[in-house]
Amino acid sequence: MRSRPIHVAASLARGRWCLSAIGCAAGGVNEQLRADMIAGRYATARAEAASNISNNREDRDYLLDRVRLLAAAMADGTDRMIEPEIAELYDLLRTQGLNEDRTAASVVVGERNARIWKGEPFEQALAYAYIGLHDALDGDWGNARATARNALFLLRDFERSGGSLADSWSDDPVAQREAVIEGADPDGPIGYRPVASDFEFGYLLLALAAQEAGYPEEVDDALRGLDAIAPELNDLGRRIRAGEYNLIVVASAGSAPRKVQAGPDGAIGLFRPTARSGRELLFVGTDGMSASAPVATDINRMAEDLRWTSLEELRTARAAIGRLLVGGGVVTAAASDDNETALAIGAGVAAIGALLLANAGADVRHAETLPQRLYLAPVMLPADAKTVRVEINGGPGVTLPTAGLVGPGAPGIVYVRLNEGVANWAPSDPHVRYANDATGGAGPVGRDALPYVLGGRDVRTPSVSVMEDYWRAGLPRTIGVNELRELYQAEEIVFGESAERDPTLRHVLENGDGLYTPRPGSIGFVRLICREAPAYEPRSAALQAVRAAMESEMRVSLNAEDSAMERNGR
Amino acid sequence: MRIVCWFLLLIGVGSGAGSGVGCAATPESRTTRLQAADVLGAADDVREQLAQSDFLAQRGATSPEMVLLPTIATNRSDDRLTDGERWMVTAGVARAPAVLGLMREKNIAVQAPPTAAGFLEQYGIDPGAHDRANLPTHLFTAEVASIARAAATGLSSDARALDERRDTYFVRYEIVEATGRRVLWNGSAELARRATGLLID
Repeated sequence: MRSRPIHVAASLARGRWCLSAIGCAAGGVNEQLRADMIAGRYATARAEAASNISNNREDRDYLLDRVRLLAAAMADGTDRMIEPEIAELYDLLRTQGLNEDRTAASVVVGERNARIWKGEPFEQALAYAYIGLHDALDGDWGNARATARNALFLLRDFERSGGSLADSWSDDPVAQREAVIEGADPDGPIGYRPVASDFEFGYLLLALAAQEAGYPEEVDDALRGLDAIAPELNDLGRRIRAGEYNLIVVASAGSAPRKVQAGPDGAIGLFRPTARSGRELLFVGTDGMSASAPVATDINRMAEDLRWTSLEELRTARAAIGRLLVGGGVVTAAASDDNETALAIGAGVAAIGALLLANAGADVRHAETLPQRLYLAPVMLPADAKTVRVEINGGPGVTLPTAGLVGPGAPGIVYVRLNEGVANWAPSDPHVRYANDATGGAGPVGRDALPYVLGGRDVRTPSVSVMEDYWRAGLPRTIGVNELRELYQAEEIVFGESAERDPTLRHVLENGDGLYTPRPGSIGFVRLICREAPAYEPRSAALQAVRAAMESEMRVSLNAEDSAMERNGR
Repeated sequence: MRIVCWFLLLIGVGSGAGSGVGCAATPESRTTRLQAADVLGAADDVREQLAQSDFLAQRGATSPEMVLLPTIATNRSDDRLTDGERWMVTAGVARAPAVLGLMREKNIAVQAPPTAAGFLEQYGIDPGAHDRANLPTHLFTAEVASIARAAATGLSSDARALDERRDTYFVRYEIVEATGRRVLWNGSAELARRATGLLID
């Protein structure tokens, strides 16, 4: 008879993985995006993230999709494409209690299946910071300042007898979290207190934005906050306060820590580094100028810090309920002997308990496209500098063209995501090879000034103002701006506002369908505009006909020139 | 049977942690972000202050025409404001019927810039015709500032977390000469927004 409850328990235990597979498939993690970011395939990551984005605000990954997309688009220099998604992301980050009505559901079906992902507090701070950086890149310092302030929300520190626990705790992060969830550890009750943020990059961004917006008192406040937590960044703050810069270089590197399940029933969510922390300096230099900046923020540090993670009461409570029910069910079944009804009830309760346990695992969704570290370097670029090198000491680097970066009156600002993947293909002496909407059409001459699809080196959006350059380069005057637009449409190339608002696009220079220009100084700009692209292969009969006519005309013209030369030779 | 009841009790307690709060909560706002409706609500305050100002007291229907051009508001608040929202703060208020009527009585034309027109129409405000030949003599400017406060009320599912935020917005308006930038009038509007719910969730 005793074999029956053991059999029930064993069956439940065996069945737990099935329930787990159905209920909480540790899903929602996109390692392909992480791999693309590590390899420097930012446009691929951006297009992939945009293709899978949910447009349903009730979707549990609605915010996560947008954070993933934001980090990828920023790295690619195409974040202007996603302004509506950024506005949505900001709006929902500022919305409180997103999951307040979903608590009951998450008890039963698990967080992954019930709760809208809003990210751990450190992921939220980073999302705010990226939005602020996006605004800063647009020169919108008022909004950059507002968003940076939101990134510096209060944190929750834990204490026992008036002192912070940070120094006295066990090194076991699971034990730390369990103690906080239970409100006590063997040494006594644990309390909490709100404390100022220690997000160093947030303070730097706030100081910079306040400086540019013209609020010196706020710069001083931000720098006092920074000095209290990271005195090693004091010199960066001083350079911002003194206005000793005409270019701000924001750099990131590495890959975001990965969230995993830990502890009993996998109920505790922990972040494990995927890229090592380090103190390597960032160097920014060109002929006649060299500057360095220490790491502003180590995201591994934030992810491991209890103050930057949300508490897990619910998950633990759910796991406890599950254990209780499995235990109660098995005991009931064991005690029932021949009482079939009690046995059935016990087995049923145990099954429900097992279901709850199966779903007790922590929600491991996280923003894989975020980096491991952030730098911010204010530098004074010489007026005649053609390129600027941005490099992590002993690590990856990239050389950027300065075209379009620094203008009169306002400082330039660039954001680069550095890694070995980029370093492998980035040109050592980049210059603008294709006329584009950001730096204009002054580069190519002669037939090179024709549109790329017609054999030239111009990828500007077709408009009335660019046609004169094309006609001078040999485009028949019978082709005006409307005819050129029709040719692009025949090729199914998206341009203009449609391209500027479609983050799923890849550029025609990379055999894609889009005609757009990434931000000057971005990795996307260097990749597309500063490298040689393969010749364009026409897809439509219309374009083939125009190209054939132009070739024919050119041959006639060359023959005429040869004849003239021959005549002159005689 | 006892076990089944026990189970139901446990589930009830477990879900009550969240749903209890949901039930108890009034249908309050979940965000303290500045809303366009809030901004338009400031139009009455602005009209009142303008009506009582020395600036308008000196003017009448036969005064020389003044052309007032709203400029996009400066954002010094803790909220990220879109261009549309920033235009609503100035052009939306200046073109609001309450303010517009008062201005007409004083022979002041309010011209919404073409860049603002689309935003105004979204909120049912008539942008009017923009007469390029009629150059602005005065500018209508605004700066939005705010103070944010967060607190833990202990009412949310996580009693130890911040779950209430209050943002008080202050809008300072000015009418300045288009040339010379002399300030002829200034006014203000204040509005507060409160939201409940865990800030980190």
